[in-house]
Amino acid sequence: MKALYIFSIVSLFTLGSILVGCKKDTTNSSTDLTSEKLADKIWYLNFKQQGSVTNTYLSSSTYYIKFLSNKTTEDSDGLVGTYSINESGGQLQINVNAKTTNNNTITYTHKIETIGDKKLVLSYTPTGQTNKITLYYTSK
Amino acid sequence: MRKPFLLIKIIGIFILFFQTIAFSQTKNPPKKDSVKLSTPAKGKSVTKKGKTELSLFGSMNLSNQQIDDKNINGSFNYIYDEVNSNTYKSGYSGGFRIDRITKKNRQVGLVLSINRVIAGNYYNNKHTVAPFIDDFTHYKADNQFTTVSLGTHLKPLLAKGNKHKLYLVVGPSFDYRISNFSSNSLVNNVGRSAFVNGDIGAEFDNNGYYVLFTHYKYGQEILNTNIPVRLSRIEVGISIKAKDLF
Repeated sequence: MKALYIFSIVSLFTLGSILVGCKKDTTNSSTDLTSEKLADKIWYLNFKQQGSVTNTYLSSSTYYIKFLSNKTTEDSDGLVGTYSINESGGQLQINVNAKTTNNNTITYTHKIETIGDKKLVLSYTPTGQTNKITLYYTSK
Repeated sequence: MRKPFLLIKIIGIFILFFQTIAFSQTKNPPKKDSVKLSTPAKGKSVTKKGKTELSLFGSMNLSNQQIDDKNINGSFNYIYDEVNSNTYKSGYSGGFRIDRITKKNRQVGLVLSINRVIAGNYYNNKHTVAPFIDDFTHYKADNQFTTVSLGTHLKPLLAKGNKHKLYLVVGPSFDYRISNFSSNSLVNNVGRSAFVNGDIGAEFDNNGYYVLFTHYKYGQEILNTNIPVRLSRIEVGISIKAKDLF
């Protein structure tokens, strides 16, 4: 009986210590997972939606953008540069800093509406406009 | 009250529950007929009333978890058909248990085990982004993980033959996850996971040589209330008294 009491107390303290002490750090987990899903893939634009207008690019040669794990990016328009992912107010964003073929610098930020292994939805509101543009990508 | 202290309290209640049942009669003097025991046969031991018996056990378990992600408005999508499998998948468990027959002939048990859970996942909710993504979930639950489990069981006798006994098993148990979390789980601040289970089952005692058991456990996640997960498990295994083994 004494052994059982000792066993019970040890079990109680062991489990109690585990519960109090161990919690996996979840800081930056969203941006880490986004990088994991985004990187080393080519993302092809399928749909572009602005207001009630939707353009479909499923059957034609379409715009694409590559994001590599070394944080560089290039797209089918010839923009080459770097990208970063950050989270602001619970909203994930991609920041791109690139140069055109004419060596002009372009920077833009797109909100990540949703991202998965194969599906990516980005959005942004062009300067001076009120209608949001939503871009629907599929990776191959 | 902070959750960890609440959990410690729950574990304490489990152990006190067991001890209360197991030792409630120890202060009363034993009746003459309650200590009369037959001579044990070779290769088996007999559990005496009022005495604890340590056993080792191993089991196979079939598991399924139901995941409700309706409270998550996450930025991630997982194709529903790729992550959903409403099946039971097999894992395994091992550990030891302490059985005791009280003076009132009530059999009780305390179980401590390590479980490798491999579960089929059923997602309650489907989300869509028309016309782009048909069905997806916001959360992908880990379908393989390891838990440490503590349970207390009451075992009323259902049927008794000359050499065999059949017990009903009921009682609560508690599972705490000890394995790492995947990056998919961590995004939703899931850094800890624990289940409180209700257990029911049957145990067949073959003349004290071994016990065959089957348990059904139905557990509710208690630490991550934004993603309620319900874990169902069926365990089938064998238990052998430690002193018969060593």
